[in-house]
Amino acid sequence: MTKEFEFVDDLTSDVLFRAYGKTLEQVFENSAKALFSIICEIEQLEPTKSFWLEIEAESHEELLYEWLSRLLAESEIRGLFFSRFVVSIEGNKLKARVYGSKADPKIGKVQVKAITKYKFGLVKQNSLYVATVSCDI
Amino acid sequence: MKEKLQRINEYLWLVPKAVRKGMRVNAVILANEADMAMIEEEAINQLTNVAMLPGVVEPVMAMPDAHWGYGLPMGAVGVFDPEQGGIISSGMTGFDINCGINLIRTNLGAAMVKQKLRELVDEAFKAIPCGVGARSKLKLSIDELKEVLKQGMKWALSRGYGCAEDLEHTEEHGAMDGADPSRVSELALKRGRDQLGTLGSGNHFLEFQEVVEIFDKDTAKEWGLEKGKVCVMVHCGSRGLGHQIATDYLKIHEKAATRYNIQLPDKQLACAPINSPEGQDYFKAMKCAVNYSFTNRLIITHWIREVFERVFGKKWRELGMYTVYGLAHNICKKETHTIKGEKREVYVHRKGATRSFPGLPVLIAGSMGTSSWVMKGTEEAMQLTFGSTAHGAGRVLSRKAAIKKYWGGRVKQEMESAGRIVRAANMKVLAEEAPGAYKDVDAIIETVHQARVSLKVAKLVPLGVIKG
Repeated sequence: MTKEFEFVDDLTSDVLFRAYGKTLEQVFENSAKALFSIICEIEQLEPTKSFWLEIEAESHEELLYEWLSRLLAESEIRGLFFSRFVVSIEGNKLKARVYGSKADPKIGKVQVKAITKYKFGLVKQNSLYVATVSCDI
Repeated sequence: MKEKLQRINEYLWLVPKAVRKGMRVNAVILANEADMAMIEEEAINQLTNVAMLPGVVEPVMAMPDAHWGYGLPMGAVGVFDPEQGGIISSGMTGFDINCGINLIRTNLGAAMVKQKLRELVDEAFKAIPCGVGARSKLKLSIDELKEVLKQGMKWALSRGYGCAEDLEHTEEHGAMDGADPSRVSELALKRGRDQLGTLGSGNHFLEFQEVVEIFDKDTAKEWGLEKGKVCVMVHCGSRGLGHQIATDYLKIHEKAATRYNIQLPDKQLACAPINSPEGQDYFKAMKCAVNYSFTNRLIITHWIREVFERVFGKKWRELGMYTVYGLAHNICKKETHTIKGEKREVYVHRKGATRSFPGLPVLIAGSMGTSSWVMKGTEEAMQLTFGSTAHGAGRVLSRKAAIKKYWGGRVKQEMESAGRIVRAANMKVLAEEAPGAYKDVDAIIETVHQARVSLKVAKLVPLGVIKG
């Protein structure tokens, strides 16, 4: 089974992760899981709410950046932590169902201020998509 | 890169523009040898990147607490001249616009506060929403939020938060003129609406501190600081609103850089000419985040005063709870500086740097559990650092390494056995923010004091700590 994501000890102040997926959809879902495992105790979440999100960008890499940045914003606006993501991508358009539950500071870990462009990337290595994402904490 | 630096004197190091093709000006690092050993090569490379941008004013400056950041290192100053095609950069100001500090004094002695410290910390922890996911007790409409962005602390005052003296003792009097909410995205407004009056998380904190040493008696007296008395320090920023404004304008500035043929040595230095719509739109939006953050800290100050009133049974004015000063550590400002003998209006990006203007207060925070400092700005800073000094400690251990090395429960235990009371929304934050994960702030203070870019007034140590 492919590893979903891992954290890389690269940044002193912040957090960098790599997420993997056999498909584009999977790497987007796993990147989102990695992001919310920084923000909250993701394994303790039992999703009670969900909503649809649609995003378009100029490339898949830009789409990943927009997707993760938008999830940060939606989490704060809706007051939810997210733990499950079902993504479909057609061309450079993403449609996703995002599942989460009320953001409770007791299971909150640390706020991610933004997704940054430092080492940011989405590549296909052999048959695996690899996303590299650094988060400003 | 370090081997190419030229030592100017005990505290200044030159990064000559000859070290890298494309550098328009020199960079200068203010550091002693020990500080320099802690500054990463990558941070010095980042200074050289900034030195390549159009309209940059000599020198690009780094402070002794400099460490790698996005685009510009934290603990650095980048100045640009609009008349020379200078740029303004969302990346250079950073994601947490007007992350900064408020210091509130009290007339309560440490011995008296220690008797009620647990109650005080617990009450404050309840009163001030903190940690990731915490929402404000205020419910603002988008229209009202826009007033906050325009008016800053004046809005808070009109709603019964704080007093006129708070505004007098805040950088820009708590509101930058020219903030324009129409330059702020709907997403940013929505993010900011439920977060006004929240502390946030990460390195943000609220501390009850004791003034343990006075270095400049006259200034300390003038600012109401007395040895043995307790102060409250609030460290936080512009929350999701500022983060979103920075994210939005990074995208806009990335495109603008292409449009105006600006060669970016690093994508994170995305920028636009100061005299361009994209440049001025950012400046107007950034001011909104600055004003939001000043207001955020004032509302938190108001709630802290209420906590003291409940715990000590006296009105906050009787407890002498006046603002010593409030200021920004991440900001871009239009200021007049004398450059090569000529007065010029320039745009100063201070990222992890504190304004140090002659005679004005400078507040520098240590890491959790270590000392914080009140300093005084100097004329030397105007000559050397565009009126700037250090801002704090800066990390030496990554968050992952800190979690590996420390356990939150133990950090809390150790601090409590030293007589300090700690409350945190999540124990892991305590491990991440363990004092050992940061540089020694006292060493940084010694450097800026010896170099006279800011002078010691008072040293404060924490009695109680609240971490988001």
